[in-house]
Amino acid sequence: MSVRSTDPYRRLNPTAIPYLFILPVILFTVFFKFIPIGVSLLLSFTEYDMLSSPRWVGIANYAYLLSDNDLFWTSLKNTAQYSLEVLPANIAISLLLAILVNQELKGVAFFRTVFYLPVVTSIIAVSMIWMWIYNYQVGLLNSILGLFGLGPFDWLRNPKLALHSLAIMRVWKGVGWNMVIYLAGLQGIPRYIYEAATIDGASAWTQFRRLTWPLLRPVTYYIIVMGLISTFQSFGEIYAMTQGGPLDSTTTLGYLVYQQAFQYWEMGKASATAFILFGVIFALSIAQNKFVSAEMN
Amino acid sequence: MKRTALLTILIVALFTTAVAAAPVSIRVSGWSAGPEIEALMREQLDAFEAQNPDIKVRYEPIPVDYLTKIQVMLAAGNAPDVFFVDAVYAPQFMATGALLPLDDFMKKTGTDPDIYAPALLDAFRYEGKIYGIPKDFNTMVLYYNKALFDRFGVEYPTKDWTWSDLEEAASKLTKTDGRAVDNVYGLVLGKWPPRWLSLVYQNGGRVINDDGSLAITDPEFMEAFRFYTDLYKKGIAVMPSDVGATRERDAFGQGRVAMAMEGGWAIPTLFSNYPDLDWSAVELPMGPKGRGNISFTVSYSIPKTTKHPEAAWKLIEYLSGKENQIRILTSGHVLPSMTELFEHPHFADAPESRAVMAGVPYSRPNQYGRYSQQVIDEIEKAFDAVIVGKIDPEEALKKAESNLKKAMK
Repeated sequence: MSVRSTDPYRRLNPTAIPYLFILPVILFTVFFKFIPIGVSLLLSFTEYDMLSSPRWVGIANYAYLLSDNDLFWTSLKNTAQYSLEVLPANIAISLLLAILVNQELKGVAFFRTVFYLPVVTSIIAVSMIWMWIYNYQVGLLNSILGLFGLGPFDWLRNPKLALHSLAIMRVWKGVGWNMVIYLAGLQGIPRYIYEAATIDGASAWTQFRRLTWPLLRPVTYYIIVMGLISTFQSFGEIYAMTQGGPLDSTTTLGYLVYQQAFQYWEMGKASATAFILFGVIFALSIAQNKFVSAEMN
Repeated sequence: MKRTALLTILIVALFTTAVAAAPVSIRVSGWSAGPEIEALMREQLDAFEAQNPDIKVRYEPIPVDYLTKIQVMLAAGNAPDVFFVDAVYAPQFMATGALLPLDDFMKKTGTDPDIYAPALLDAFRYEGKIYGIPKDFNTMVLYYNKALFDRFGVEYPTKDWTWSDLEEAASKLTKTDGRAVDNVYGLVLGKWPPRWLSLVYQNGGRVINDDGSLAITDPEFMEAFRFYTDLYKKGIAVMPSDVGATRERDAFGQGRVAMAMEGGWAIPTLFSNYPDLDWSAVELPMGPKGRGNISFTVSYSIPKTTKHPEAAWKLIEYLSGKENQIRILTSGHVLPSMTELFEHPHFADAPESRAVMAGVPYSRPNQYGRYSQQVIDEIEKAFDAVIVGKIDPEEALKKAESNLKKAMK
């Protein structure tokens, strides 16, 4: 009894201990996420160049962006287009890869690792490699196409091509991540369902279409939501490879925020742009949620 | 007893020297333009510390994203006591009161502002006060490849060339009838506007008027822009990427173009990367309204938040002083901001550097008001729109103007 009462842990409220464990994360999130986000929301209603004090301008920044700003609308369009190109390709390829690496083959772990490697590589390092692949004169891609008498194409400096070139790279970089998620989903589907289907004479394609795809729907939903959020925020590859050019053809909202804040000294407009981006992502997520819950019922 | 006294004296002595020698510590930052430049900076700071034992200097070079880092440090009140300010964004720093005016220090230490080239010092003047001392500079010159000129039998450029001489020579120096890799062009263009805005000044135009309004759709600007982009359309000038080069100076160095309008910063690159190239440089050609050029300069400045303004000024005074400027000019990397040093014997055998210095008196600083970066970006987009997008130059400039007007409200 006496031993117990001197034990400091015993005297704590039992529910306090878990909170202690997550305290570092809570502190980090509050100080480095919530507080900056709150300050940024306030700044979005000001004019602030980081040198003089912020000046309250009400909704002027939002009005400027939404009413007559070509670059903002171009960026929004580019962002949407980028997501629409990256996501479907990413889903199709990562599902295919997941099905492939789900086979009981020798050395399959090796392929899983290889497909996952781009995910753990820094986006800047990946961008540098792809800049070389896309190089107009000495690039790998143009050299290969040249063997078939195609090209050369100026992948990153042609305003009609640049965004697609970035999208291809982004798919390559991202499929490994979704492959792993799909793989987990596939392994969660009980084997007997397929056995039953085989006995009923369903072909492999019918099994995929009628069983695998519907049973993976929650996984696909998760991938779409997370994929939209991450592609809508894309910045690193654009900063490294095209700086938003040529002719603004690769300026996404994420890059626009950076440009306004750190090149044009317009922290207020940058914050407003960031909150509009937040609004767009939020609205899309809600819409998907509604759509999917209706589907699933 | 004697020993105790001696010990006491020693201890007292120890403390007094420690107090007397407690040096003021200041920080200095600049971007890092490579290991030689960093080593040169350290050498200058060591010499300063040797002369001023009461001031310790910590050198904190910033390798990438210099401006971003300085902005954030200024906002956090944590900026270095002395740092580089590029003329292009100096107006923003000066107008927002981020920098300390230097006039009082200059009066106190008897530093005469007139020893610095006026075109350079003016870049750091705002409402009658001086906010930075130019450390060095560059202007644009016309580089030419002597071997190509000889091969095509064209006379070397002189400083009295006009736009039509330039165009005529460029067309004579263009040869595109062989294999693509053997093609040679008269001139290489650059899309970064400060590379070609000199032409606007040579045509009597402006980028920004004195009252801060835009002048990019004035006829003088439009004509110069059309002249420059027409060289490309006529096929006698190319972009670096058209001949497989990344930078203008590389297209020139690789002998793919006969001429390049480039800053003096290309001189060291050409000497070190293309030692076999037979080349020289002259002042830019004259336009319809005479001479015009852009000076690129950087100052040493002090942030308002510094705790050691006196020590910071001492350092600036030393770095921009004559003794130190002679040290760095003989290093071959930079040109001195003191007019007197333009005549330094080091330049006797350097006609290229003399051409760069000759451009200073009639140059305008590379700055375009408080919205410098937006102005440069929009004009660059207009250039891209003409070259890549095949848009009419006037239309492209009108679009740039309307975008800028919205941003500058």
